[in-house]
Amino acid sequence: MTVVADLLDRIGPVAAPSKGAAEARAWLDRHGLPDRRDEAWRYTPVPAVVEALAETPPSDAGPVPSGAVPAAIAIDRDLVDRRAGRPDGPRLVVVDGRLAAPLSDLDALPAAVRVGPAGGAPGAPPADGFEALGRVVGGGAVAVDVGPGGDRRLHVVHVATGRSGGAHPALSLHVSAGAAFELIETFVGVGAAAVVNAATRVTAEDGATVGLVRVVAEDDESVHVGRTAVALGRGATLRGTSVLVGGRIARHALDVDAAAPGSHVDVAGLAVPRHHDRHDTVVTVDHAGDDVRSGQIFRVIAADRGRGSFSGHVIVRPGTVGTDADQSSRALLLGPDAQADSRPWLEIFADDVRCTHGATVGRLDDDALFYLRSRGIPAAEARRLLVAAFAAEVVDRIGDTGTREWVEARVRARTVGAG
Amino acid sequence: MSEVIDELVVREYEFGFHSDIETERLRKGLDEDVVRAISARNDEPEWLLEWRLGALAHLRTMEEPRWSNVEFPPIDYQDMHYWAAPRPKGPAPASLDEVDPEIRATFDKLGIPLAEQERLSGVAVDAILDSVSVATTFKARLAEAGVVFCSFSEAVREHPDLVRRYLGSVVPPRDNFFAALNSAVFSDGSFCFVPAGVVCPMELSTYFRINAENTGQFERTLIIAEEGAKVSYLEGCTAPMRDENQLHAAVVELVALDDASIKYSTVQNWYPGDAEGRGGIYNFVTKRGRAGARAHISWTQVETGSAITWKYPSVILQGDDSVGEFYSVAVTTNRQQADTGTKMIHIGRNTSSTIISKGISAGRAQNTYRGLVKVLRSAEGARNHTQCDSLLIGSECGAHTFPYIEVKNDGAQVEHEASTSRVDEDQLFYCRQRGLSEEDATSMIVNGFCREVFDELPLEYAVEVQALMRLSLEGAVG
Repeated sequence: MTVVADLLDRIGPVAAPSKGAAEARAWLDRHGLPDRRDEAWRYTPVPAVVEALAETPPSDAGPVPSGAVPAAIAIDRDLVDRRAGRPDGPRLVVVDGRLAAPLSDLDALPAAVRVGPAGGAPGAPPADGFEALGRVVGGGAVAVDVGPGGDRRLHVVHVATGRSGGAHPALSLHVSAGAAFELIETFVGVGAAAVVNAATRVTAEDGATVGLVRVVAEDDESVHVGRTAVALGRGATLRGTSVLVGGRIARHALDVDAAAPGSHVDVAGLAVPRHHDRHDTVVTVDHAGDDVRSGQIFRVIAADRGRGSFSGHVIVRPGTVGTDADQSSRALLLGPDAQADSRPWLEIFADDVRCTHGATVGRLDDDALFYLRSRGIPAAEARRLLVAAFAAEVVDRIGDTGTREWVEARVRARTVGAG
Repeated sequence: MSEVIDELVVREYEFGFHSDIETERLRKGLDEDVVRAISARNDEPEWLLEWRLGALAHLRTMEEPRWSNVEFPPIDYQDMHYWAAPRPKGPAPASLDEVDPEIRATFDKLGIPLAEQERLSGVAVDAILDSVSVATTFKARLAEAGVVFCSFSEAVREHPDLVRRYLGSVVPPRDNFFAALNSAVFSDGSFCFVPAGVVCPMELSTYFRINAENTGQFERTLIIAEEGAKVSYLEGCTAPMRDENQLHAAVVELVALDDASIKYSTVQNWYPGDAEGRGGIYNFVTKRGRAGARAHISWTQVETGSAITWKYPSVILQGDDSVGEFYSVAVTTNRQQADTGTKMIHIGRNTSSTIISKGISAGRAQNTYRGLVKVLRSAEGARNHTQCDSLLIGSECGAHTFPYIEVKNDGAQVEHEASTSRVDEDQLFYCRQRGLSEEDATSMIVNGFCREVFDELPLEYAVEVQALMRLSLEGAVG
């Protein structure tokens, strides 16, 4: 039996087959799950992810009907607030991939923003084998459709209960021409080891401005593989911030398709692995349109035996003009056993470009520490300040105060005492 | 500027002649008999034959790698000759005067007049035609200093203990597909041994030439610098213009014991194929050095030839305080493809490495830098600085940068910076308004772009390389 068939057999039916499940299954049979030869997955221990998916304890609940909250763990508003904080504004709660209406607050949502189950099959082929797997077993996706207007924000809290077969949340966001919208996705657990396989697809029409904040704050024993695919229209702007502050394995792949001219991509990320965590961020910005500007800022802070990896891939397609792409990757190692990997890649097929990248790996600057200590700041406090400053380049981009402070606290908790 | 650039003129290859030297070849194909025959021709001891057969057996379990960023039709490893040599006219030459005049003339045409080199330039040369070393100059003077510099086959006969001890110690036969292939069928190559404490009194140089048709060239270079020894070595390569592709799969091993220093420079100018990408050499080479404590290994390469270049001269920084360097200029024009870079493996404490790579892509060429900097847990205080810049000339070429940085020690400091752009319009404008032609201006800017690498070349070659660069880019830059 193939790995895929065996895995599907173990996961079992999770929900009624959704539209697109058959196509996804065919895709999966053809391409399979990522393996060691798949360069994009070099720094994610794929066998451990597959094992986690296959070994989650057998479900006692059986197939869960779409829309219902699994009964195994009682999830109430208090629990969600404790785990994910309670920022102001409309909130959508998704439990194990299914929309939990009773836990959500959508009253404050403007009329031009519609939230509901996704209709029809996902148009785009899966980005990888795990996304295909999610479509086969996930059952139903959440769709957010944003009409004209500006200054709106939606929190989506994904809660993973650790149920058998993993959680496979899928979310699609459509932002209409000229509109402005911010989506904040946070991923949390409820204290049980969970496997989360999340897929977010974003379409920004011409001139739209999209803000994406994605925080993976899974529990220590959890596994998270997620991807965000963004397609930008003419003159559209993406401002994305990705944070990995949880999970023994956490991976986020961000694919930006800048096929239309004049779009602007500004993405950043922070990963804070500790213990034996493996955190991996893989970013691809595909400059297929003219006059596309892109910037990438990625930071890793690795503590204990944590290993943080960043792969940033800039592609400039043949025949494009006016490309400007910058990439910066820095890693901070807070202990003798911490590890970091960096792959700042440029793949360029046109000459009217200006592309740069810079990457560094090292520990805290001794001179900076000495300076702070000479001003009377105790060593531990000096280190905390420097780590916070390092993280701030990314964390400060989060405009929503509640979310930002919540992320800052998590970064502090994960790095305290290290280095 | 752009219209001038668009007028891509076919670049002429200066060294594309073919010499009518009588050649002796083994039949086509790769099997045990061919390996035995090669071994027998070189009069090799039993252990070396076993070593080759072991490599062949392992090769059969391997698949040709395909991960690189280059494209080529499948290679039929059974449809080529694995050994060719100028047919001997009597016994081996005792001195240069006895070398076949045709062969001498071939090297003269290449600008490597062996006799003249011996008299004037003070550079010791080992010349290799197809598979066999034809002449080595300056042997006597080197021997006085205790330096052994000879063909590989001679080293097997004269210094079997050294060869046996170090052969495959840096690039084992099982290292990769092409290293295994080379280990099974390597024909000849250069061998250099510099004993402890000796500074080699002159630059050493090997000149490789593929002459025969349908022939692969598989030479092996082994350089050993004992404790405190110092040597500088340069290799050059050319081949005739032919419509078919020829495979060159060499292995170069450098052993720098404690406090030793090896500087290895390459000027690679194999036939690159014509403007439409017909013919040319596939240059799939494995080069690696191992550095002992405080040892220093430096690779400098100027890559202008070959239809496909696929190689990563690397340094294993094993000893504490050892230093590795990689300076590279890779020029691709027309339909050439290059996927080249380096690996720096930091094992010892306080090891340091520097990587400077300059890629120039013109025409419809694809130029890729691929490099790995790996700092192991043991490499406390390791340092690396990498700079890789790419220059694009023309809108149909590609320039790619694929660095890998893997750090397992928090005391390491690794920096990487890269840029990709076309020739700066302002710089061009400035040069032109000072009366320089567009071609001269571009040539000057390109030379400036490569300067940090050219500065690392031995003086004798720095001038030659600038001329070679200009020739390579002729037509592509106006």
